[in-house]
Amino acid sequence: MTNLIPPAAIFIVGALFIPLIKGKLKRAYMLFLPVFAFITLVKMPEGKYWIVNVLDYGLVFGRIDKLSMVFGYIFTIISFIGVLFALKVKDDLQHVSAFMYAGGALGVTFAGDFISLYIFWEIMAIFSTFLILARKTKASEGAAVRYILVHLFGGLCFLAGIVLYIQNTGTIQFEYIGLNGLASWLIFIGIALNAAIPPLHPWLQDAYPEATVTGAVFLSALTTKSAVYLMARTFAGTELLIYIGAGMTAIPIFYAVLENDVRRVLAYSLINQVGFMMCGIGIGTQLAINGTVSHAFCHILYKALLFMSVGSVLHMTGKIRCTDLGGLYKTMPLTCLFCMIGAASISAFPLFSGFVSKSMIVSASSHEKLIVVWFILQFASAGVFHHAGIKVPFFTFFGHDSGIRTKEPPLNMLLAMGIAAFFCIGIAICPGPLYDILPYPVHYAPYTGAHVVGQLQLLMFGALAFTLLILSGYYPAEMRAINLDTDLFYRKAARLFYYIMDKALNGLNSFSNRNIAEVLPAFVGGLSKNPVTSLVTYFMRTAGKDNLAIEDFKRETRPEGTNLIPMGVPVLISMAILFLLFLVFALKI
Amino acid sequence: MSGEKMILSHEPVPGYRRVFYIVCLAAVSYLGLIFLRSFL
Repeated sequence: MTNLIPPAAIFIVGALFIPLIKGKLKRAYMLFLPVFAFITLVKMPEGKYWIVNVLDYGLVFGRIDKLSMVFGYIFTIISFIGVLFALKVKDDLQHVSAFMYAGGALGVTFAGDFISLYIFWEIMAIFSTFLILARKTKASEGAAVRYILVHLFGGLCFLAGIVLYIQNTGTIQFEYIGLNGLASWLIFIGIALNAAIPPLHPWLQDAYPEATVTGAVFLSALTTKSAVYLMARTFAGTELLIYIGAGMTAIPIFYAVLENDVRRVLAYSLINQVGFMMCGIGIGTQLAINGTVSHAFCHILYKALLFMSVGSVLHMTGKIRCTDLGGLYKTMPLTCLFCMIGAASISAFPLFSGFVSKSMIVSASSHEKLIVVWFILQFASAGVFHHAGIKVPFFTFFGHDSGIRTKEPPLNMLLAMGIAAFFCIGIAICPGPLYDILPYPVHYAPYTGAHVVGQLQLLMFGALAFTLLILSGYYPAEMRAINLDTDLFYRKAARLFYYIMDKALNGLNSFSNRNIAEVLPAFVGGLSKNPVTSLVTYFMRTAGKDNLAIEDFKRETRPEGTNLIPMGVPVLISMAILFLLFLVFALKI
Repeated sequence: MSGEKMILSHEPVPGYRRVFYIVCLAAVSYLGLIFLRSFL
């Protein structure tokens, strides 16, 4: 046991006090929480801590090992950057949600058992939804509802898998699981949904671009990366993930090229980057897992930087589409510079962070003689440079002049972007500290002549392709449109389901209302008042007698109530008999 | 919707379509040669 406080508790309990504090103290308090959590993490030795016995189970809230520590570090670092970026937001809902969400991610990272894992998993799903809802537009409301529905479905699969797993193994502790039965498949689907593995991915590009400017920073960092962490822990070496990951890297490129919304382009590139990580987990060698973990670390930073820079543009101009933007480098030079650093990092330019992490995964595929996969990853590398590396900065800050004249975002936003940019360059120039905290010993040198020249060739030819496509007029026009993705199926299926349920259940409801609530009580009421008359008139109707004859019969018949015993009398007699029987048999009188 | 463009098309710059075809042809030829060399 340790005297230190769990990082997840620092965030979750700390979040509750945010609405109670005002002014500068609140800002200092919000910045203090991730710093405190980070210091706690640094002090933690490896082992299992914060074990709480509930019923017959021992819940482990602190499984500290090299794998969980890397994700713990980066989640607290990005929380600090995200909070700094959102420091002047006056909406407490966003602050509390962001801290609860980040606390959930830390809880997932350090959970050593399935029960606490599931609790934190759902905390993440719920509070991340508020970061989408908080934008308070019609589009964000719709996206948030779809987001939570999809995640609740994933959560249910996950829960079903966990229950089956506990039933099969008799333990709630987990480590490597592997795909070997229904329980593992359900757990796999639950994690895969959060990792945005196709065809379960559309929630990501649907929801993230609709989130608040500051919320998107947290969203881009936490949900998919906590799923990457869990995949790396539970399904490392699963061959299926190699091919899923390779597909994930390639498919979003085509959507990203067509997309007009800049934040949606980044959402597609996020899926592309998680694809690299899935591929690394599938390969499962030490080099591949190191590559996956380091790439997750770097990706969180440069993706957050990209979301912050385009978020700043949205914050200052109110616009986020390629068709509306352009020429902003004149009035937002620093934001443009930070965006370029993020773009260079995601494209894996030498001296930018992606170069020292992504290449480990690509090299691992090469070492394992996965030639087709290697080729797809190279294609995807060129593709991500094309859309996230060139398209995003080009159409936002350069390209045609939109005529928008604005100014740089507030200082706290610039500072947050500056810190992220510093990490992006610092990790690339000096990758040693990052390599030192990876799960396995690193024997990898990123800066070899062949690697630098090869990567530069790839990127320069990618830039040439983009330039020629633009100049020759073959580049697809940017237009305001909705690109159909696999969400088409569940959106259509959901409409069909709604239609069927509307017709079937509402039909059943009105039928029940008419017959059970209206006709039946009227009939039973009539029967109870005049039972003989009612039965005779029923049989007369059945026998085909006309209404005149029936009315004559009713008139001639005297009211039956005068000859009937009140209902209470037989009930009283029955109760008395039952009580006597009780005395005789139960008490053996 | 007012003030927001519906489409941003990229008009070709004269002469660059030819350059595009030449570069495409060169790239395909180069990759084809590498592919064929792997069988020799």
